Amino acid sequence: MSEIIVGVGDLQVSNRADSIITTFALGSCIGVTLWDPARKVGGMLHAMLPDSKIHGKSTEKRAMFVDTGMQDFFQKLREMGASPEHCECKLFGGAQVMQADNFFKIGARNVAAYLQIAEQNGIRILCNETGGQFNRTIKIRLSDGLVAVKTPNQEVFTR
Amino acid sequence: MSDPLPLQIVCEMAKSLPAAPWLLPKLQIALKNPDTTAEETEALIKKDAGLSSAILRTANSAFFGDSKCDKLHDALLRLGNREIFKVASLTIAGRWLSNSVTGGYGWEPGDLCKHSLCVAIAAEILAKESGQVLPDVAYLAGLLHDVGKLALAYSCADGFEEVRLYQKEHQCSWREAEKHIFGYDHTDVGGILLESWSYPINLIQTALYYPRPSLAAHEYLPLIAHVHAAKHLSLQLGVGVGEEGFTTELDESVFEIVGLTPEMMELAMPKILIAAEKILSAISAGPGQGVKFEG
Repeated sequence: MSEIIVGVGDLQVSNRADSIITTFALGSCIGVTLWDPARKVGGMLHAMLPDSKIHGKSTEKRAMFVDTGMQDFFQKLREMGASPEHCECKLFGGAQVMQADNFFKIGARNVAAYLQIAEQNGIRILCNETGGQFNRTIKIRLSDGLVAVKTPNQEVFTR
Repeated sequence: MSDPLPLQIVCEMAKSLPAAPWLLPKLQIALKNPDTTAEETEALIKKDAGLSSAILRTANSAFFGDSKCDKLHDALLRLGNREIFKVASLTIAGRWLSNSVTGGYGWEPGDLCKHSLCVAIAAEILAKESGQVLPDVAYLAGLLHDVGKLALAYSCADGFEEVRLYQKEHQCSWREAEKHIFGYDHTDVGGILLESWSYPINLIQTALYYPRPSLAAHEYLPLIAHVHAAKHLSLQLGVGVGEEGFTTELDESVFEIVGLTPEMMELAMPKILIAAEKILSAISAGPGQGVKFEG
């Protein structure tokens, strides 16, 4: 078994069925997993902000943003023979601080940006485990697409 | 839970944790004083073997030059006061914040240190952008803002279940739940600790009021509002955030008062991430290392 780590603003895709892909501590960031059950190809995006357009040069790290990160995610899946529209999608993260009323609704903005892209691209969302007031560490197992989720002081559960 | 410990006892117990950051304010005073000689600075730094080693390591990093520097005296000259203090802040405060107190807030080992570093970096970046606060001061205030949490988790761990239940039931901030259960909260503890170590008043005020900046003395509002913003930007990244993180109080009204716009904060986020990654990549154990598939 090999474990692949996804950092913040990072994207990893693998066609090795014995791989586990992990990202730590999703706060208001979103973690998207896409897994093609027929080809056992899958990956994970850990995106921090919804929209790359106002960031200019920062878009060198395209996976920081939901819009450019998802473009790259689809492309990498296709390069490995998977079809994004045939993938099972699971969505995590998007936490939000209790009293956010303006700028700090970043979690909700990230989730909304992703849902729009998913709809435009015909992505099936099997699980939407977003929001709340806690961070999440997630791992996807590429042999069966199962995702393990850990939150602080709570038991691990799977989706 | 038995009766809560008196606040003074909580602070005394915290001082018994290894690597207390008492040297930092002394070093800050010495480095700011133009009459301090290089020998006096060296003597102060030599009191801490870990710090001496960190200074040498930094002076020999590729960033500071190609030639080998094997004497502390030479390393200090090469780095200069500003860089010396930055290395000292990270080494001394970071070491104390890395004490392995994993109960209470649901931290994995090292989480408080990682989160505090993110807040320090974010506060420094925001200060550079706004021009309202000295970046070095913002960095240190960010690094130390949560010292009270370590003390509370260390001495009052058996009361945290009640804090957790109270917070969930009343949907209040975690800090308010602490106050209800213990009679004090981590900001009270942090303020007393920094005062007992002779830290300057602006840092004490930050530890006391970072969740509620509008309650701070007016002259400290710019600094504390920057740390407040930095705290919340760092929470979004999730790194080292414990169970209580997203129930931290947020007052978005203070940002405009000190010139921090939503656009400025959004543009700062990628910079914070890139700067934090450089430092945090040296810390290998990530949160949630123990996450395994069940069955």
